Amino acid sequence: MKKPLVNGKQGLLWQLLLAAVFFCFGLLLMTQYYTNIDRTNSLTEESPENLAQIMRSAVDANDALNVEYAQLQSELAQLESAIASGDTLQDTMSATIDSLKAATGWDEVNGEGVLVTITNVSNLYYWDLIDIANELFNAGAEAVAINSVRLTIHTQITERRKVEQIEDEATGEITGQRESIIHVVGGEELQPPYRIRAIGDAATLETALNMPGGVLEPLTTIYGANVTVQRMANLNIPAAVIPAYHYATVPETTTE
Amino acid sequence: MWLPLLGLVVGLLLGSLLTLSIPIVYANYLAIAVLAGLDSLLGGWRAALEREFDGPVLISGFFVNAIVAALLAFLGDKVGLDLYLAAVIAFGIRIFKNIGAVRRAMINNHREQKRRSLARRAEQALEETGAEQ
Repeated sequence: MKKPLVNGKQGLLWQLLLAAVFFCFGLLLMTQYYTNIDRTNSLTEESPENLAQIMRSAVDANDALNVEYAQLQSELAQLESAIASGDTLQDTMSATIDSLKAATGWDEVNGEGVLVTITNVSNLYYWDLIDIANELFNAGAEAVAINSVRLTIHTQITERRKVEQIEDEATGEITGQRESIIHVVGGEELQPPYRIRAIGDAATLETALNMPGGVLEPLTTIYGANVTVQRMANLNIPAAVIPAYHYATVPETTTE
Repeated sequence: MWLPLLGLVVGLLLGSLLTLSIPIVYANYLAIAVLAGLDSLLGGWRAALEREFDGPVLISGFFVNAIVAALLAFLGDKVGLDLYLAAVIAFGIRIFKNIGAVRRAMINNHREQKRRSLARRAEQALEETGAEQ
């Protein structure tokens, strides 16, 4: 009844075959193991109650996410509008507007600069004032005012002849007439002393004005005017009177 | 003796390295095939212990049982009968029977070995006493 196990060459062959069978079995077992992991992770094996529960929680989570999404969306819209109307655009816009205001004389401006005071103006011509203003702008002045008149592209610097009747004090008769020249800036007659204020780099402006053979030298040496140039840490230059524009329009395409 | 165990270990390692898996709908059939294979191997072990090991029987049993069990479960699904359960029960019972037989065979073998060694020792003792006389 009891046969011995096969031994020898044939025994080895059978052992190899058995090993192959065991190998197949191990492979099958592991395959089933991983398949079962897949199955337990999938929803097909869940009971209807569990599925309902899972679905309800999924729906709840979805609702919560939708609410969060809407909140974030509105937040985004707020931020976008804030950016559009605020920060960057407004910054650039206000910077542009500020420089335009400074350039056009729309608003009063403050800053460091020089104050040129001219007394004894009787021998001055109006183009001396133009020369001074040109020199100041040339030297980088950003705003210039002569007395209280801000210089803009509309400002005219000219002169007006004034004829005064000379009366005899005793009799009241007109004995003659005296002609005088009044400097006019922007329609206003200047009263001495002339104070020319310029905002810009004070050192540069001062150097430009005091250059040997420059704009001021002939006034003092030839015309006997008394000119002083002072550096000012803080100057105030008033706003200009800007005329209303009726004919000039800005093409819309250039605003881009 | 160690070669089949080595085959089993290599199969398990390879299976876990490859992490093979089949579509979930076929999971039941593979499970029943694994059960049938386990039953065949235990039957083979039992046969080996009882000195009745037959290679062709084991190998054919392993594959045919596994395939037929899977096919039976598949057929049961198609006709609406849980033949799958029948296979589980049948193979389950057989597995336990085989394990019982393996256990008994091991104990018997152990006892026989003990008896034989006792007998050999008794013979030796008899021979020694005979020599002395």
